[in-house]
Amino acid sequence: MAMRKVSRRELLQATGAAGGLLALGVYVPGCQQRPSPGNVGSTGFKPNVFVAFDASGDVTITVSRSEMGQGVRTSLPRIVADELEADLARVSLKQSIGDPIYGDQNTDGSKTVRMMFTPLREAGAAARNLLEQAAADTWGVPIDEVTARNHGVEHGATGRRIEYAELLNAAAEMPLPASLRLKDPAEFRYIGRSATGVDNEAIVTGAAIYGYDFTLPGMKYACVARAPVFDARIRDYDPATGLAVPGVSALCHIPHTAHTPEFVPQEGIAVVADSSWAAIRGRDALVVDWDLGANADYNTADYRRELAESVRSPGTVHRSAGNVEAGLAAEGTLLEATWETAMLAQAPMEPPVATAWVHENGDCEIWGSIQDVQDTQRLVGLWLGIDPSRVRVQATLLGGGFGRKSQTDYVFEAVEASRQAGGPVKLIWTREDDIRHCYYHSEAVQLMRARLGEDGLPTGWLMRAAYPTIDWMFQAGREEPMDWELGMGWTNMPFEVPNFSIEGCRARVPIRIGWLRSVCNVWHAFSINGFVDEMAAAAGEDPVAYRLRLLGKDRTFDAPNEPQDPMESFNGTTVDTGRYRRVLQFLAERTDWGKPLPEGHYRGIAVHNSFYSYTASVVEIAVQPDGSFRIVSVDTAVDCGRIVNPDGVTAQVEGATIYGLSIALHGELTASEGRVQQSNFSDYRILRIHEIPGIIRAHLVESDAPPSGIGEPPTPVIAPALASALHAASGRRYRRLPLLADWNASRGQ
Amino acid sequence: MVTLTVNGSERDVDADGDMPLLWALRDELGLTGTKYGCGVGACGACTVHVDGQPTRACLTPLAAAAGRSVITIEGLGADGLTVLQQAWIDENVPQCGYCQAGQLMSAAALLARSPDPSDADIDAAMAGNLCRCGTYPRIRKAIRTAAGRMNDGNA
Repeated sequence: MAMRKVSRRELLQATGAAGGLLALGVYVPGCQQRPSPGNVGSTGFKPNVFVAFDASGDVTITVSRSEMGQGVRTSLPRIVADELEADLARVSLKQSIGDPIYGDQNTDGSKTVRMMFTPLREAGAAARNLLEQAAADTWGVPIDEVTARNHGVEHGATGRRIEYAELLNAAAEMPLPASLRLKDPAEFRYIGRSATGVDNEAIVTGAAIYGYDFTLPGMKYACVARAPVFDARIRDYDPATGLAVPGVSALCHIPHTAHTPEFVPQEGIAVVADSSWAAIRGRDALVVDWDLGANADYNTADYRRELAESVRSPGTVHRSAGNVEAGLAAEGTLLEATWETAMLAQAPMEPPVATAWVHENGDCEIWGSIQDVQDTQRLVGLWLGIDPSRVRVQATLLGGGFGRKSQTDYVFEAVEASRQAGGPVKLIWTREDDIRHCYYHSEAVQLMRARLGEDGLPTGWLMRAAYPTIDWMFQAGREEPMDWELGMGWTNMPFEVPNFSIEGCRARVPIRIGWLRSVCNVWHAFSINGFVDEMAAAAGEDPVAYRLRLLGKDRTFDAPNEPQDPMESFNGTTVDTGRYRRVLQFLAERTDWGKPLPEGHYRGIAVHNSFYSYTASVVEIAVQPDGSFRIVSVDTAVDCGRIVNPDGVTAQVEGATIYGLSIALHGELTASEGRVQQSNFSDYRILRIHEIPGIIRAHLVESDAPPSGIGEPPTPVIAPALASALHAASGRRYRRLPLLADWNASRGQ
Repeated sequence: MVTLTVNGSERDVDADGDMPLLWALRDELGLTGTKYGCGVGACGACTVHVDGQPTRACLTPLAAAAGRSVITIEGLGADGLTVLQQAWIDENVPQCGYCQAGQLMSAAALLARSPDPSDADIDAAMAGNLCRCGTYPRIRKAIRTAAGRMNDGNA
């Protein structure tokens, strides 16, 4: 679904001359006003798909993206309500189903506010403008003499006021405004003010409904015995072993499928039962004989060697300047190093889960923890061979996503179980399923080589990366990093270097690969910050001062390798090196970078641009007498453009810091004979409350730039900042994630 | 058939005594506030109170709860939000919110036995409760806020 800017003329043509059609500056297909009758008593006043008044004047604002803890159910309605001049006490929320009328609904890529800010402002303003016009007509005064304020329209000169409820009938018959009158940002009343989460009360009382909690009368539960190795096939299975478990009522074969369309499940047997417990026990008891296939030889140690070998040879060049060979051949210090990072699982607290009901007439309903309800609608339509309009997909609250719930293999499993067993089926994943059948954040090996000139700056810089591509899901046979992957932290790097080459090297795909919070930025930021630190040290310069010099003059450029689809590039694709510089300087000032530290304390710093936001972190550690270290504080500065909910942004920084520390300290999955060896939180460690730093501070840059990402951007700076602090403490470079194992190994512990 | 008291009411559960209390509460009694997170007692999302003690419902067989009093998140604020729940809202603790029922049950048990917990007390009591969103700083703060309000007599 493309959302595109259109000219006013095109818009008028598209929406027709029937009147009452709204001038949304962004054309969301289908997002025009439905014809409203003169009396709104029965149907209400629905100026567009995001705003609906009932006859009493209460308004329902539709949230079209999924809530997974990033706060969109809190922030998006406040954007609409602000432009609408709505009284929040009279606003209720509706979580939309998947439907192209909402435009793109993919809750992914830290782009919800970035993509929705302007369209939602326009949706709110368009409704307000109609109400203002209705009031002006009622009073017989020019439109510019009236002002909407808190669910009513006022005429300042005479002190008159009409409530919105009194204006709905007239507004419903108003012609299209000649142009939208958006608020001056100085007039924002909700945007830019902190708000607590709209679902907090439901959450703290246990009333909130997540995918795992969704229940229908007569619903069955299912759990899947699925391919233990990527692409393994069922040779045979013994139904009696599953059916013997009390409560188990059916076994459904989830067929093997080619890799496309994307997110299709692995082959397996869904065990359908009367309760979650019976389904899990039945699944555990079911004996399946697997043909493990070609990926059964995949193991982490050998694969890591393959990647390390791969970066020794030239790869596909994705961005370059000058002549890197000549630059590297010049006089001066030659630096070279390799970075290795581990495989990870997103591990949201709620494992993947969905409820499906394939009705007897073939229509399908789905409820669950799903990051893109509209794409799920499309894909399930393809799976069932029916028109997507016959598939209804409703997101519940998501118990975390972090990218995992963008890949909806579990939804297909639920659909298949319901189709075969009949009636509604809730398909649950256990934690073991989640860790062992993930779409993994891949391991990566990266090589950096640079020649430093007399001024300490690189005359040539070679960057090579090998990691399995997420693109395997979209096109079979892809065996090297894609443009868009290298665009997450490497090809959009801000440094001014006369000769460089950024290359992606071959890496086969022996296991399912997917998105995890910040995706490739995690390892790209780790290597690039680590190497810049090493260049700074070779130049005998402070890491901050060196970075400022390496940046060169402030400049902007279009991020290379960005999709040109306006849906993706809404609000621009410009990289602004001035913002990168300023966020670094801002943090250096806030943390008093360079100040003397207490005995045994050391600091590191990292800076990165991702999802059009600019982030920098300073990590301070204290090395203990026994050689272990404690993280004292993490300070993160963020420039994410205009902020809708400052406390929400602060919460994302805090959370991403801790997520980043889990990656940096502990995060590591390994494979042997094609199988992931870890299975639960007991052996896949994530940070616990007693392990977090005492101080986690967010420093928000005030900006009137368009909003950019915040859910992911504070994550990738954490590991390199910690690695930098460990170097400061030990004099040794830490180039392998997770860092704790490397630190302990290097100290003989 | 197992009989137990859940949130103050006697309930008969027609399920195998081996069924973990977690699934009995969720699937048999419809109390879905208690969450599944790991099934092995490693995450604390399923924490409930059994006779006042914080207990991992995923590791507790239904039969072991027979005749006992179980309080779930739905019963924590049955007479209106507790000071602790209000502090959770005021400090804007939840992100995705999935683990928060377990966090609250652990925190409520802590405050019941230790009305003015130290930072070390809080860490010790809450170390078994994972939060993947990373709301720990606010959990600490909300527990301190609640303790302060309760000790000021605002309970």
